[in-house]
Amino acid sequence: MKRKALSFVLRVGIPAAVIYLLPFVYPNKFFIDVLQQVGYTWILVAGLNLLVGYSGQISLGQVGFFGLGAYGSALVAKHFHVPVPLAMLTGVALSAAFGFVVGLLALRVRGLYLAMVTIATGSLVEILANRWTSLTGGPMGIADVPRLTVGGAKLGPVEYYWLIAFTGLLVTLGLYNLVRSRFGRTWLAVKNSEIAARALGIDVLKWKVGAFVLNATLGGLAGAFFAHQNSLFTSDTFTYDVSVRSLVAVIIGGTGTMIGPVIGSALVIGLPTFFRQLYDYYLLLFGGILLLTLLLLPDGIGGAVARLWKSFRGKARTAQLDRPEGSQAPLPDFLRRTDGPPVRLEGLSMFFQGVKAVNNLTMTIAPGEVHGLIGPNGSGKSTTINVITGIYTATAGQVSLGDETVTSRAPDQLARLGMTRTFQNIQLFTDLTVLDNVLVGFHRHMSAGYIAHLLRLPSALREEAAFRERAMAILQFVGIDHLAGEEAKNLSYGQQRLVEIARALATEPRVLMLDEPAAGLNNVEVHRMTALIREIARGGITLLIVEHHMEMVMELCDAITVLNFGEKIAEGNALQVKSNPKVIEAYLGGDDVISLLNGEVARHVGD
Amino acid sequence: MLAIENLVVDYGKARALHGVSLTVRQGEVVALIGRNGAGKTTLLRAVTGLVPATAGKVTVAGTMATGLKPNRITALGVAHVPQGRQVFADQSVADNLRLGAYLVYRDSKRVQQNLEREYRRFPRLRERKEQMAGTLSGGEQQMLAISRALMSDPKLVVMDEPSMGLAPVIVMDVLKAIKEINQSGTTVLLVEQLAAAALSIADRGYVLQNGQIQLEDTGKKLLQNPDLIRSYLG
Repeated sequence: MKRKALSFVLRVGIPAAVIYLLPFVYPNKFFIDVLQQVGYTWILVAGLNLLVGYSGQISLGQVGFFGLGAYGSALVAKHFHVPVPLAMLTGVALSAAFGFVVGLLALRVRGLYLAMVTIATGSLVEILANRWTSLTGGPMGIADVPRLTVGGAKLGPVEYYWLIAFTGLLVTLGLYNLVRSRFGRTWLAVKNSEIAARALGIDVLKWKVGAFVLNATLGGLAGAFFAHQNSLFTSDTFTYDVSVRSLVAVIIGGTGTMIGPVIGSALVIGLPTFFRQLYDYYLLLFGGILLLTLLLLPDGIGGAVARLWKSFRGKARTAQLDRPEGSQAPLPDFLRRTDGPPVRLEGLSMFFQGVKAVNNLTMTIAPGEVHGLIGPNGSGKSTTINVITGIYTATAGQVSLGDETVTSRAPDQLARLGMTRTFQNIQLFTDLTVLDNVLVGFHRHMSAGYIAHLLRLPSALREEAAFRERAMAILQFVGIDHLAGEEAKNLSYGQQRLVEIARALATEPRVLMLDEPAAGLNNVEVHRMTALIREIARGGITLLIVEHHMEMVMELCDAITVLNFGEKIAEGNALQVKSNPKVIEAYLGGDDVISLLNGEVARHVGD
Repeated sequence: MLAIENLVVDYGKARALHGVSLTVRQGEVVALIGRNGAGKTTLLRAVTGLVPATAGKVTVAGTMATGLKPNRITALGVAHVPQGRQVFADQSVADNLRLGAYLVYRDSKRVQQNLEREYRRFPRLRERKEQMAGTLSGGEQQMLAISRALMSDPKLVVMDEPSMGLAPVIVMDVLKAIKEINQSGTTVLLVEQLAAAALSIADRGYVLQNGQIQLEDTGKKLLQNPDLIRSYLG
């Protein structure tokens, strides 16, 4: 309770008091005007911060959203004589719609190209503002923009500043709620590994566009506040500089931090204003200060504050990272069902520029069985999993899941049908803790919406708590519940594999494909992993395992398919496969090989 | 060749290595084994300067390496075969190998010789030399990572689980290759999960647990040590 009160004071009380008191510090018109500018820039930057820091996208076209919000609101208020708040909402809606379009365009490109696309969409608005003079007035500006009134009286500059700044605070608090809910988690997951996010059933496209729309909404709101700040504004405001300054504010403020946008905005607006008396030198000084901040505080001011806060709060601990015990609990009940559906491949082929990675493969994974897929390196095992799970589009052939043909469906659609996987080259969400990684896995089972999380409604909190409990149960099952709070990137390789399995289990799959679950484990750990997979199979989950550790394959698998050069060379139970001369020649090698790799030590000491 | 004294490494507030000391003598193969999370990878990364040491000392052939940047340590003749391969996915197999020869790139004859030598070691790489490394299978990437490390004729190679993701027959090839690399004069520090396999080719071995060395002995003696599995790997 005490911590809650402290956090309320820190996050709401102090900021609100500062916002309220600032105009009294220096009560002149110019200063209040600067405060207003900082206020709406804060809102603009908060949206961009979410886009960059959480969804992993970038926008250098913030001026577009800002401009649409401003012109939309001003023109509607002026020409249609609607109340200003309503006009502002129109501007926001216009900007949000534009954000949707930009978001869709953004899906086709990433990185530098995305930056280019957003520069283009931003300059589109810039050009319209400048050239469509009959509508916007261009550089001559729009005059007589209606102002916000309360009870017939115009809002004074200080009151208008309060309105903007308190809106900024509310926006920040809302975003804070959002990013520590499943929304923030999902965005970070998409940012860290799109492929893994999709395999867990996340519709990556929807989430990326959603982030753009949210960013555009806030950009539009900032623009609307700007439009009604004075009774006149011109197109001179809407230049590329707005976009650049927004991004600079995000970065020096501290990307992805909640305190960052307000600090960044205060700096990018305040510093140039403060140094303006120095005429020719002010840009030099401004640039110098930005450069220094970036050099000294690589994760921004907000990042530095967060680090200080952590070291102040966190107690030193020596985590015992290699606890020897294995699984601490049986498979949780919610994962036990009747047998999962069979998976059938018919004449499946996957060619890469003439390389026949998988060639005319027909096989059936029976309901609830553990099926092994083995073969030399480069024989097409991982490719087969990639085709089944929709990461590659098959060149020919069919995949069916139960009675349904699912050839070339997207990974997230397949995940929603109950099929998921782990990855040979581990694809964890490295910015998230172990627990959060698993919680992302529950994505398709969570239903609490946007508003519920924005406001932290009890329904959202209840759902979060319930799934947290389930996630802990799964972590206990795989034996790493003591690592729940660790960042995933700090774990050892073998532990990361367990996180991946836990995360896959969280989707409550009916079919699970494991790509080399034993890689990076020593022989004793392999035994533990074998027991774990056997327990998963007992839950009725249909399993396909690609693995080179023969002891594990032979012990676990009801049936084994052997590939070589993309074609099936053998199939059968462990005994049949083990004694097949073709398999021995292409893959297994002699008995001495197997016994050495299985760890003869173990046998010497009678393990 | 390599001397580590009281090495301490922290990740944030978690201590990964608690004062580890070990030596690898010229011409040896030394195996480092232990369960997951024991600190094996961290130790290798500290040797090649990829993680900073909190305390302690690493010397390579008498030169103090602690605090040096990774590229300077590489220049001392230490090559790293990293866990998870880390090949340059968007470049061809041949270009990956040439990049491995970065330190000797002026000597084009030597680069060409070494390239041939590595193609002989893993003929699969020759077959795929024009292919982008990212399109190789996991096992092929592992071969590439090993060969890339050898391109600059290092004096000491540290290998982090070279057998990971390899088919059984290929694992044997890799073990033979390590032995061969060693016989041609390169010192090897090997982290490996296939403890028996690693110890069978190692002159000496260390067992790491919870960031501390628990056992040190010859490969043969460790292979026969009944405590090894029960206490330190399980």
